Amino acid sequence: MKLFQQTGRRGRRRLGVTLVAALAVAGWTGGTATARVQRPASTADRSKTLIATLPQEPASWNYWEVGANALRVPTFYNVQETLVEDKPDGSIVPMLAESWTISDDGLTYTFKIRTAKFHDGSDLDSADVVYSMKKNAESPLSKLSAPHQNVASVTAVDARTVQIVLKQPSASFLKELGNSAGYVVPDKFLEEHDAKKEMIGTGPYVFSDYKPDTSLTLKRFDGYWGTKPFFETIDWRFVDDETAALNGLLAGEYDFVTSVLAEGIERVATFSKDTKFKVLFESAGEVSYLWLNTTKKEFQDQRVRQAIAHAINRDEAIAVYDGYADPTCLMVVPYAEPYNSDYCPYTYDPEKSKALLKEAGYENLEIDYPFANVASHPFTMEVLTQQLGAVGIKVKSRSQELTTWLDKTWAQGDYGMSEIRDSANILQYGCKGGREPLGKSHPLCVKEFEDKLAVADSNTDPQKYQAAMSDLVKTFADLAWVTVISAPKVPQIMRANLDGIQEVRINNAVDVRSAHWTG
Amino acid sequence: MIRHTLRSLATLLFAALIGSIVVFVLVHMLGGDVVTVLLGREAAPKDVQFMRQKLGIDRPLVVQYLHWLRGVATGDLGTSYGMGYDIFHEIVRRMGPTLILTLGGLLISIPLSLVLGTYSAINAKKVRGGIVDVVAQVGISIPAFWAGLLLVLVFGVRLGWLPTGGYVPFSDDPLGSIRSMILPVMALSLGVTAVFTRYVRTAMIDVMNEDFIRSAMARGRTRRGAALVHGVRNASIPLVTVAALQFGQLIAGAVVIENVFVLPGIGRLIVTATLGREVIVVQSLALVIMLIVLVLNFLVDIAYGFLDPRIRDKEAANA
Repeated sequence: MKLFQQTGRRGRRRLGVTLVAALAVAGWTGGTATARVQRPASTADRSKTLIATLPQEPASWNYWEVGANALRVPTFYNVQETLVEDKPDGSIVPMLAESWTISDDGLTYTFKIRTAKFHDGSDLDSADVVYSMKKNAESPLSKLSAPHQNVASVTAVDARTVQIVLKQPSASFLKELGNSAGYVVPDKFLEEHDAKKEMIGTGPYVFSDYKPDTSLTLKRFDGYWGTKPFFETIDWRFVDDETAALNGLLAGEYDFVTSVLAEGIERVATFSKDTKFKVLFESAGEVSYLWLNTTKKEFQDQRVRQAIAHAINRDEAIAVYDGYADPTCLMVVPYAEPYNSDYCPYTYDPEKSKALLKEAGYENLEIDYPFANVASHPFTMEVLTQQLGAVGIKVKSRSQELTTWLDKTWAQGDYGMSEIRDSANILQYGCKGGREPLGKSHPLCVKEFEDKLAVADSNTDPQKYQAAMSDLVKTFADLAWVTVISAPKVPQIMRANLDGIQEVRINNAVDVRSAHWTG
Repeated sequence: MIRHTLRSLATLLFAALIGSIVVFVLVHMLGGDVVTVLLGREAAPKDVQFMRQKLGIDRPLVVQYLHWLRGVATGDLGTSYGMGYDIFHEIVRRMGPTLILTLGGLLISIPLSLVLGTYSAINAKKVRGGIVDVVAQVGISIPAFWAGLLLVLVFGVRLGWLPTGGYVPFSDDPLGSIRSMILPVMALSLGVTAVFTRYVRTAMIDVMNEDFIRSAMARGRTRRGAALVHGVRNASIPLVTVAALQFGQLIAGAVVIENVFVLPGIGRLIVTATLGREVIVVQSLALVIMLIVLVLNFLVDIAYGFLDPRIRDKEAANA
């Protein structure tokens, strides 16, 4: 108390000087401790660590039972590898199988397994591949198991040769082995390891240190069979708030923000103009679409479905992504598949839409529209509600938290229509037994589409396969149960001198195998 | 006194029990469960059922709740469904950032609010006292997340003095740890300081009208001297009570701040566990937080018993 009493003008001045000094010290330490360490200033002192943000974190690292993209984003290709590799142009190249042959009847696939090591030091051989394929077939995730339902047998011919025999020819089978269905892990991995917390693969990076809600660290694998990557460490940071991620990038704490999906979209243009940063518009292996409940009476009338499709102005709808999307009418994933085209049976035509509704007797149509309140979905909801409203359709939108949406809307089917971004291939839209991406309770079962789907996949001649797939996606668009809106391009923002990040995201992976600093 | 203590303890346990039931019911009402989160859109209904059975969440809700409660009674909060971590250890691990945040917020807020509130009370009829009051009002009305964003933009992005987010454990890098917590603590303490300042101001204005202040002034103390020597001490006793009661609000503020600054604390765990439908994690967290808040309330209650003779007299009269 005496101190207070004696604190006169001189004392206050002293206090002020102390405060300024403290702030100055804080400022000085700020410049040296974190910011400068993480900001490579020149080629000489550039770090061999890449710090990248991820918007989501998986509930567990068990690849066998976790369907979230969040698991594949940092680990696919980087930690875990597959039998073959799917390329953005639709081609398939060797990965853990260095070569393969397919019998003339299209039923027997013989894979030559390359010499490689797992991260636990064990050698890859046929037994690992046979175990992995059989385990994948048992997975509760259809992405892993569905392609194996057509497998009659998997056998190890010798230590380096594996033979897979199909029940019937499938044009997509080999491609699926470049997806999660082709994951290869050490023999008995799931029985002998806690797959929730560890991941053992053959990829260029070792799953090293995971801190929940904070980070996942990958360390370069010295025993990698392929070209060793540039970065010694990949430090994935879980930052679900885009604003925080972009602020961290500006402050030099992160090198790479892997996905800008929501509120950060508005800042993309600013980053594009800043020479210190680079924006890569990744052609995501996804399309955005609205789909209708197949059990609703009003949608059984194709004119109503066509009216809805005609009401959608795709050029306007891509404003949701600030224009960073390609308007499209076809369900082609990845977008670069050769059978893609600009075919569009129901272009934007509000007058035609109104006329179709009148003709069908649904001028006062009301649609229940639950939407997931994450990423771009709320913005898309606003656009669709306005566009459908313009033709007289009253949309009753309901906001749902993502898991609630997955349960109530997706699994239980409590909806009239909804919207989603999906990476599922058209072949997985088959009626029952497939992956049924139109919701678990109301699959799409249309004979015309089913017949074409069966023919397309059993076609082993590449040219005929492409033609059949082209026909299939057009038929799907014609049916109008699903109205594809766009193929969004996800902005990835990084330091200007970061190179080698892929522009097409395959299997949801952020592939950092070729990432490096440039001069 | 003993009866008063036992009654408070019984109320505490009963409130915690009711709270855990409310949380359990609310999380289940959200829709979806941890299997929905794990398997995502792809799983067939039979696989969903298989996983639910494997995790034991296909059992009736009452059975699930009682199973968890039995575990709590034996000191076992269980393991999370997804990542399989031990919930008790995870909560302990996450306490670090949250305690630094909340206690740091209190340590800054209490002395600062005492200074500002007293200054404002002493100068209540002057412009400078009014200015402090207006600033405190503004502080109350600024949401913590917005304050956090502004601090990040100024000190993190613009000036580059402090990290924009993330947590550095003290054992890894003491200086880095302190630097990583400066902005979050500032953001959290801003609103709390404002509330406390208003409280101290009101209490001080009341105290300044007390007889003992007039007596001190009659014995030659200045108004400011009487306030500082006799007033602050009297006004700060109820402030400690308010601070203890505000702890729950601080935890709520920590949920927001931990998400803005990406801090792996209890608040962030609440959010991720709720979104991930880790019901037993959410329940356990709610129970722990409720117990902390209730224990603080309980201690305040007990302290009243000691401090306020009227409560003791009432107990004696009822005995």
